[in-house]
Amino acid sequence: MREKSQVEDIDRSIYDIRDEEKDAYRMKEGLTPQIVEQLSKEKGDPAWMQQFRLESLQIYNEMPVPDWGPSIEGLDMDHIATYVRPHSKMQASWKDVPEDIKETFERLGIPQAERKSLAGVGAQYDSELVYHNVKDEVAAQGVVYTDMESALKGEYADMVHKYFMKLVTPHDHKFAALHGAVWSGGSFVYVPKGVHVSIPLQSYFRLNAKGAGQFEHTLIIVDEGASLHFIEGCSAPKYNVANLHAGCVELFVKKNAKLRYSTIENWSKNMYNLNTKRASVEEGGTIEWVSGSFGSHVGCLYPMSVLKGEGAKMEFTGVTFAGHGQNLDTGAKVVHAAPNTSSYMNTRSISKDGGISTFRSSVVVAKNAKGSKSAVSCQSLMLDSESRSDTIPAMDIRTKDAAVGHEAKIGSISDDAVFYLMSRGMTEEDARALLVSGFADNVSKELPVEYAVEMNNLIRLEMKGSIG
Amino acid sequence: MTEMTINKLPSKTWYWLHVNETKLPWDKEHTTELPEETVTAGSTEEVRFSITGEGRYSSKKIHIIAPAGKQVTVFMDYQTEEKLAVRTSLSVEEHARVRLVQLQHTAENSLVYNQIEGECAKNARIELVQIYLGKGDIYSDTTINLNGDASSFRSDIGYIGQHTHIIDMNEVVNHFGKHTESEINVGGALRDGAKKIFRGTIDFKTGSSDSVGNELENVLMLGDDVENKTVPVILCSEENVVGNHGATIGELDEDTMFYFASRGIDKEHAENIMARANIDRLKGIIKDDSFARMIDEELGEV
Repeated sequence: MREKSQVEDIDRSIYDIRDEEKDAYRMKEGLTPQIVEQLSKEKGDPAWMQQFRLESLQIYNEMPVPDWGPSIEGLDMDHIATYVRPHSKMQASWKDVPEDIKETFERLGIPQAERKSLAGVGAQYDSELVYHNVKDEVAAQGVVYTDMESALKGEYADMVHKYFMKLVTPHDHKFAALHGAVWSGGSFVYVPKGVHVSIPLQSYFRLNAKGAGQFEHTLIIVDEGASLHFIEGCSAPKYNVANLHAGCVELFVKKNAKLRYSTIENWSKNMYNLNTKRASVEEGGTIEWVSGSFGSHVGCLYPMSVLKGEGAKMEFTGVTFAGHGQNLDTGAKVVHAAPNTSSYMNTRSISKDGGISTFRSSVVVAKNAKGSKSAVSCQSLMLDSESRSDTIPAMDIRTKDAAVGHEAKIGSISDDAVFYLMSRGMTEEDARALLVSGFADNVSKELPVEYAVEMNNLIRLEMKGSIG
Repeated sequence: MTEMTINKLPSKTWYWLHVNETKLPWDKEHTTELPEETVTAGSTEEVRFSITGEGRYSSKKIHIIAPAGKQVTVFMDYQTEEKLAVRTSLSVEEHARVRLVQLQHTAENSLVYNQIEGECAKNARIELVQIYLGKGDIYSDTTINLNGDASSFRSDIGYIGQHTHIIDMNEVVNHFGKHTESEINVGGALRDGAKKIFRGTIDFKTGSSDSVGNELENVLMLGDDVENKTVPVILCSEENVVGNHGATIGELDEDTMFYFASRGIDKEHAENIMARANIDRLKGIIKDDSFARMIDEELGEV
């Protein structure tokens, strides 16, 4: 009797180590105008931001919970602390970061990665950044990479006011409104005209506090003719109560600029990851999304690109791995709002041990987007019948002068492919292992090599059993 | 006036896309119930219905029953000038087969709601051909349950939308049995300001191992104000199945245009030929002279 190929769960031992909570401040659980006002006061917000938070809270209270997608019944906002400040202010040197927090980031490999391959790093612990630094040569080019709070109050205050939650407004959906009310932390990046940042910047978000939410805001502006690769990583230890991540990413890609935004999401399996990401792309600009979703109990993540300038481009490459107890609803959205724009989505999803993986997408081509092209390819691999895999794409095309293509495939490991590899001398176990690991190659090829290695380590294969 | 909620997507998505369902105004109080009809395979091999409706709103139910091992072909054509709802139920027992061929050639400003529910037992087969050429709006809602092992369903849909017509379609195939097969082929052309939506769902339920579902859609966009929505859904809770979907939406591609141009055919004629080509393909599947004549008459007005 032949046993099934066994795909191991992601090894979470590094991520699951919990630090003792030594919070400097923890907001009481729940969500009321008083709590939001207190949070705003703690953070020393300007008056407009305090008003913005309260208006967002009102929108949040008025909006219904979506009746589609994964259930979020286990998420009770009355038991979520929306703000937890660690016992450290933001530092520009790792040696000044408290030992316990530094050790956490050392285990995650962040300082090492900074030394080897990054132009700058931001490290957030619970609700605030504890470390932020950018290499001198990058700063000398005029690149601004700082925490959102500093940007909000410092010399970039006007720029933040101009762009903050203009792309993702609090009216967008309930958890965008929640973000507007209680956001804290995150990064602000400005790349001046014509500047090419040759090595990536990275922000890493670590949520250690039990029963807390993380609501960081990332705002990136890549000015005309400039380019940037930004990497986002996130993780948390597992608790037996729900944690919430409702971050927001707003990306502004100006004329002929290029931005690659890579994410390796590895939250713990008690996390509700209800994140919102959106890019506005002007004439001749390019946004590239690379997304690996491995963690979370429930995930809803659909980066959206608005191609508003002629010739703007979008590419989305994603892989989702849903194991036991996970319901990951991922995909992408694109709006072609200008002529000769193009988009390409290429995704893979793997479901095992009762995991649920859903690919959800939308392609909208507006009437004025003549000459636009869009292609979507999504493939899903089911590794057992306890799991579930769905694809729910939608296309709304309003001009005849567009070319739109879509292909989707759901299946198991192909016996023909196994036979082909075996006829070339491989064992059945090796053949099956190769096919499953190769399935996610679309994403690993797009990542910097050290992240690709990490991702391949995350998806390990173990074949066992006899053949017959 | 009440509102019917029809064409529900089995798995909802973003509301702002307006694809999760359709609300159809319907005057239930003033609806004329037309006589119900039952067709039983075996007593006849072929049945024809021509449905015109009565009054402002009318409704009709048709039951098609195919006992074990029997076959029947049912032709239905809709010619209403008003609002017409036709609900057809199919019960296809073991080793039986039902072919259902429907043609909409209705008048301007008319509306047809065409609902089909089918149950397919072991080794049974349902073949459905739908041709929408009418001048009125069409709302089509089909659900087929492949309950028995090795049961199968094939659907071929062709349409030409023009003026401001609405073609709103929903097709759901639930695979319950093992070794079941479904194939959905949808092709059509949109002109002027026609609006079309096609939701196609292949749902592999737990236990439907070794099943296959394929869905293919081609939309030829020919008008400056046309709108096309396509929602091809595959739902899967069974490991050993294969589900595929492909869609192409757009104008005639350059290679095709070059082919026609090299034979002296201009763009307008080329588009007309290609718009009709899919309907001609369906005539080949139907293989019925009188139905083909009806289609040709309608195409003459397109």
